[in-house]
Amino acid sequence: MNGTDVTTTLRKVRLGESAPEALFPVVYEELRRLASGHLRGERSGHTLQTTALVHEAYLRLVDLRRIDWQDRAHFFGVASGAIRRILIDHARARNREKRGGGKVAHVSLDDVLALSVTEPPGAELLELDRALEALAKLHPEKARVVELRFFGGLTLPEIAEVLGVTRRTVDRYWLFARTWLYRELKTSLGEGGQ
Amino acid sequence: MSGGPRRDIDEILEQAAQLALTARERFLRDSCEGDDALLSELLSLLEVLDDSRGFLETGENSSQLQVIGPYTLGRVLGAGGMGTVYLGERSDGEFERKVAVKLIHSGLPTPDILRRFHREKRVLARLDHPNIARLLDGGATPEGRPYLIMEYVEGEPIDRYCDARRLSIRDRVSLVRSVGFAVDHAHHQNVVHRDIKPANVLVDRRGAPKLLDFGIAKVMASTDQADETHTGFQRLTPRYASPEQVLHLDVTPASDVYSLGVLLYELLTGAGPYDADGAALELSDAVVRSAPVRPSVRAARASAHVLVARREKSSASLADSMRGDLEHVVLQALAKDPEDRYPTAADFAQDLSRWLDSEQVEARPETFTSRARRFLKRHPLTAYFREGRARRESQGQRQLAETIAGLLQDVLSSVDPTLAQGRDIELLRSVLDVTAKRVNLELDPDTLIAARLHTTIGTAYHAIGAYDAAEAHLGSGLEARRRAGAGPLELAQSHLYLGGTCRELSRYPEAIDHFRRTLAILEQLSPPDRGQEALARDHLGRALEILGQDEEAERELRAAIEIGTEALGRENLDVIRFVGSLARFLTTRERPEEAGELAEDSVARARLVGDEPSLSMALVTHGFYLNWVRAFEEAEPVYREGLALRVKIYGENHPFVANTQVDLATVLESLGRFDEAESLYLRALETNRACSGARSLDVGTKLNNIGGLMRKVGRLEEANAYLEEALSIYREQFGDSHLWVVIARMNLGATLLARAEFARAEAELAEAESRIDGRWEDDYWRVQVLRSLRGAALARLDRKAEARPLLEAAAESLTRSLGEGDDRADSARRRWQEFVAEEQLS
Repeated sequence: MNGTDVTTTLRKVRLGESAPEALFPVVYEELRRLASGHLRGERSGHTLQTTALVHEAYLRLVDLRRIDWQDRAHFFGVASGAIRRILIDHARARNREKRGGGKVAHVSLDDVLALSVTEPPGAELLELDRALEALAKLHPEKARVVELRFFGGLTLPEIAEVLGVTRRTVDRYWLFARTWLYRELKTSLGEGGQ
Repeated sequence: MSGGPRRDIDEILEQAAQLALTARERFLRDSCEGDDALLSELLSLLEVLDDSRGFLETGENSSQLQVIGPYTLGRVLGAGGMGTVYLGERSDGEFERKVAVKLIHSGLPTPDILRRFHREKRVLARLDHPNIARLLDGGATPEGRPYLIMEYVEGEPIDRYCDARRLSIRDRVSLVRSVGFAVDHAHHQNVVHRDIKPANVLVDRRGAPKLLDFGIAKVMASTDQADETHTGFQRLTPRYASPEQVLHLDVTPASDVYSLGVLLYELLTGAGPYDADGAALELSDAVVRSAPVRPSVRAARASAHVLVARREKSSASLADSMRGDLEHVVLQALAKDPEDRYPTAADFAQDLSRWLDSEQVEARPETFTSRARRFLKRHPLTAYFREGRARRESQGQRQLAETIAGLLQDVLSSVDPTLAQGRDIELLRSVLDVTAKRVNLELDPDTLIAARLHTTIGTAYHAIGAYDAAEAHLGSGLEARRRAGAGPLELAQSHLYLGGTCRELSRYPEAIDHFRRTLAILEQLSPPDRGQEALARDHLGRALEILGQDEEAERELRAAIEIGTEALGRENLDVIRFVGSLARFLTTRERPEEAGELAEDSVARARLVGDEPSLSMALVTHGFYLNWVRAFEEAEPVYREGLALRVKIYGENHPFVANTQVDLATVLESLGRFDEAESLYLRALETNRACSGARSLDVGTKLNNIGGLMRKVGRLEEANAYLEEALSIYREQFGDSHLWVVIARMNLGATLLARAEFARAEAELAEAESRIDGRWEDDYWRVQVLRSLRGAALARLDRKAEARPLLEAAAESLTRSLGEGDDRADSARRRWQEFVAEEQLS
């Protein structure tokens, strides 16, 4: 699937002629490719900015002249699922390494200082993923809002477009999910959480 | 709240959140209608609700920002790694004004970072130039997210603008010139753009270019918390980034000059200056290490689409318009070392003005000598290695060594004499010797870095004709690659290079072995590298040809052309060379019609592409063909042009030059200009002895030629000595049955005959004839000349019965095939007539 196809598929998604999942493989591949260089930690102190990553994939895959903002929202909807999987896979791999799967991952002072608010470090990311799974069992649509916003960097109006609900509903879902997840993570990661 | 349907938990939470703390719990109890589980869930959520504010809420937050200052945000104009740009419209004042609002996404900045941001912002706001989009304001949103407000430019990116309007080369140059002066204005205010690319150069409806985002890259960097120089995903596309930017070194105004160079290059040729594909890493590598493809060469491969957009009729006319001055200007801007570029953007723009006014530009083609001298002066190699140790802690040895290797590689690859343009090969050699010593002493030999450096050094030695040193380093490179577990492509490359060097050292079976290994490795690659495969097949075919394995040789040579054309295109320099290889092969195999067409075709393609090394090769092939079919008058000017080019490219003392001198000498010899021929032969012989060794095949061929000439001019003793030495070299190289050995024996036999050493002459000639072994047809002129000579020898040895049929048949056959007036036929007839006359006398 090339850029034109991605753009065409996005239009079909908007017209209800195609499911957004059709885009998943190509978007996932592109993101994985883009992310791999950054996840490998070429430079110490690097933080992965997922939003920037998704934007980059978007600019590469989509013909900007033939697309409007709803299409963009659907693209980012798919991308946020993909980026979540990439980050989680990476964090798992990193944890495996740390547990003694051969190499010992060296964590420098730089790494510690670089932990940015935009990207929880590996362990916390895995906790978040687990909590999000738990939330999805109870309230799937609210968990989806978090995925779209946190992993995909979507704005709230964009999320409304992707989920087909009103903006007000998205606000409400977000408030609930944020609070719920915070409580979960505060418990599992100890006092202070974030 | 009874009666109505039970509300969802999120609705209850939302409403509770809007209440005062004291009212919340009561509200919850009412809402839960006795559902204790729900109540306790809500209570625990409510407990953390206020703390959770801001949790997970980073990244793009634009949804909460419909208004910034006096501007209402509209549609998204663009999104990139550093931020999102919105159209902002001002509607509060008396006039409406559109602006571009750039909202930066990164973590929330600290006060210190914000101070830096504002300082940068003030500097940028001072920029006032008609071709620069103004920075109007900047600040931070109530949440602390920095934003910039910029002049909104309604226009198209410069590349799309030029193509959509089919602007000519001149118009394109003129646009870039304006951009150059604008960039220079900013440089005078101490602002470097850092991110010049088509998307940042818009052209408005009146055709005026406007630069966007001046200095924004730095402002962005100033808001980055993790690392001040970190500019997010900007580095994902190093298409316009200068080498120093790729290497994370200091960014100066010269970096903008480089980016302007890339911009101009693309507007002219429709493609970037490097052959790397889009992958960021590969491209970064090329930016740091590879010489840019010359614009005229790039233009020669331009697609129809690119030509139409530039109103050019053909890729040749586009290439023509670039060749010379304009090309020099572009390449000067693209110099790897900032100090080699134009000192300022204005100098660049002024040189473009000169070109537009048809004046002499200041840019000059880069010479190796100047670059090497400066490099050695400024960067003693030890400094690189020392710096390496110091920086290891922060970067890791491997990465650093890669960087060093890259810098060295850049210098060494310019040792290729096609770049050195014939200047000062001795200096090149001393650079190589110093580097080689360092690498041996200071690098762990079992690393890929050491392997790469050895390989680079080896190819550089090869390029200047120092084949022994080349072999040693290429061999070390291959060994190191094996031990360090290099990938298949690197191993294939090592074998290919080694094969080439073995060939120059006349060790053909080894060369063939290396080429076959190359192909075996390439065959296992997925996806296949067809270009490399074609190259290896051409090499293999030429080596097989020399060993006389004709059928296989022809198959490989044809495969090289076919695969190469498919993978690289007809006008690829390698493919042009492959065509020449086949032309040469067919020429010596007496299939002149196809050979002649191929040779001419190869010259025509090379002229079209305008690449001097390729053209010199094609000319030499064409000359070789003309010489072979004895069109000497036509061959001379072709060879002279080829020789002049080669001296220019490789210098006087290069084996390639020696070979061409010999080619020209044989032509002059055939034209009866013996003195000129002799001096060329002797010069070539000296060169070959020095470069390839006294017992190399190249020396053999030269000895054979000189011997033939000496015989012709009656200096028989000298002739004899030369020819014997030639024969012994040939036998050493090929064994006794190779056709070259047959030819050398013939020449020696003829000389012995002339010196009246009839028994030895007859023995050599008989040996030669017995070795032909059906590979030449009976009526081939060499066969008949050989028999005629042997007949003459036999006659003198009083073996007249054997002599008679040989002499008679040869005279008749040669007259029939070559015609009267041909010196070979005339000589054969003369021998026959002498024999008959003597018979009659006795």
